[in-house]
Amino acid sequence: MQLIEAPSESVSARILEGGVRIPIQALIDIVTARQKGRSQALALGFSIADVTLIAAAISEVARNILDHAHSGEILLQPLERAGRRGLGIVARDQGPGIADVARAMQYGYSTRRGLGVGLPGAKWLVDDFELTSEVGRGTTVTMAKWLP
Amino acid sequence: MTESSTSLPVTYQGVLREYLAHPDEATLRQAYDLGRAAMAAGLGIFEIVRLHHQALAEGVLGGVLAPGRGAEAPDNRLLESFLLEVLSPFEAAHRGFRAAIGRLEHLNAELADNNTLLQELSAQVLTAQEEERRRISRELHDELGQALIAVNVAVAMLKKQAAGNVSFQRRVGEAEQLLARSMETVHAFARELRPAMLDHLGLHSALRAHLAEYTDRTGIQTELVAHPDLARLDSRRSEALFRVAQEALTNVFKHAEAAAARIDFASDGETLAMEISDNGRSFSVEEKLGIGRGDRLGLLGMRERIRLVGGTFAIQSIRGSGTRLSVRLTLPDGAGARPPDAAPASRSVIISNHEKNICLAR
Repeated sequence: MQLIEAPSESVSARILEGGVRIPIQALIDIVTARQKGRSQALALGFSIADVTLIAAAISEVARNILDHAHSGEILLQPLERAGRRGLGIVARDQGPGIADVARAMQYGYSTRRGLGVGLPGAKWLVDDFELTSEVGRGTTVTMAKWLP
Repeated sequence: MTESSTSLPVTYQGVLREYLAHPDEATLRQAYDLGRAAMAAGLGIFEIVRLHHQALAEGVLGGVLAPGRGAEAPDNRLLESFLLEVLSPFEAAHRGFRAAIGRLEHLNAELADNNTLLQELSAQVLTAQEEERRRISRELHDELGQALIAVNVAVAMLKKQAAGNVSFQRRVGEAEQLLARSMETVHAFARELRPAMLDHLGLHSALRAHLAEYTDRTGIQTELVAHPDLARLDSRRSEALFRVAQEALTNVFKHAEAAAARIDFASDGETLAMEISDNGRSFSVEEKLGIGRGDRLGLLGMRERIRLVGGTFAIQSIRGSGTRLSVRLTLPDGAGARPPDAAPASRSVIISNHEKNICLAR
């Protein structure tokens, strides 16, 4: 099953077997998404440290869905690009959307969040990060982390 | 200490114990949230590591982390996962900073490039301005000045021919006076634009002449203390110093309400210092040097001129004791080292004398 497309700026990535979709509606779903992401990352061969960072990135995008859209979904997809394997993570919702994406990606934009958390925090934890949002239509975050 | 930070060791031990008892995603998420909250509370990595070790030491010793006394210590791999989980928000912040610093370095380099470009541009502007002034000054003097002299001769002849016609002669006389004033204006203007003296007789003479004219025009008493090393200045440095002095004196007249101004030169053989001071009103230097202010007294221009000849520019304005502007320049190397029989520092005091005739000759 092909769940996601590769981030637009990347060289076309090949979709591998084993994509999963996790609906995000409550805090407990964050745990599920992290757990699925962790097992996929381990299966792909990521180190414990990288697996932890992937789980952290999933936490932040999932929390963002709950905070701003109340519900949405996370798709996890093993990928291959130029001989390297990686994990694609897409978080999408049909919430209110973000009016000023650049501002939302700035550090310390929201006083509720500290450094290294929220969408900007997630961005630093992965290799590819793309945020698209349309006011009234929702937000999609597409991330990928590649094996060294 | 805040309540939350005093209770943090307890919370940390609690979450760690929970995790060791049930090492699953739910407890790992608690660990992650703990790290997130700790970072939001302003804690650092050292504090987290201390909390971790404290929890381990107390927990293991108290048998809390390894239930059943005598049982082996907690699994190292689990402990590592837990600590990484708590630290991952810090890792994200650290990576963010690293990326931001890279970006800043890039911007800094760009800024430095732009700065160099701007400085080159301002040097070009100042050079072009000086060229233009020289050209206009020459035109004024050579073309307009010569034409006026020719008119003057013609008028003198007219006056001669009008002998006998008193009213005609009177009107020609009026025209003659008007002409004399115009010639005076043209020459003064030409001199101010580009004192020929600066090129031919050097900074000392040019300044002395400028001060005499200035005192005459403004009534501000001036004093000049020169130094023999002025003779060692090349034309670029002389020009910069002259322009700064000219601009500074204009400021004194326009803004300072001063009764007297002075220019002092001093030299240690390597560095020449010029100080221009007045006894008038002070102003806020920072305000005048600020970017985007309307009236900056030309301070930026002066500073730029001095920078272009490798000198330093300082200005001090003290309430009640006027303004002091100091310029320091390195004298050109070797060439023209002070001759053994150099004249001592000379002093010229110029006192306003409105009755005095102004010399029109260039």
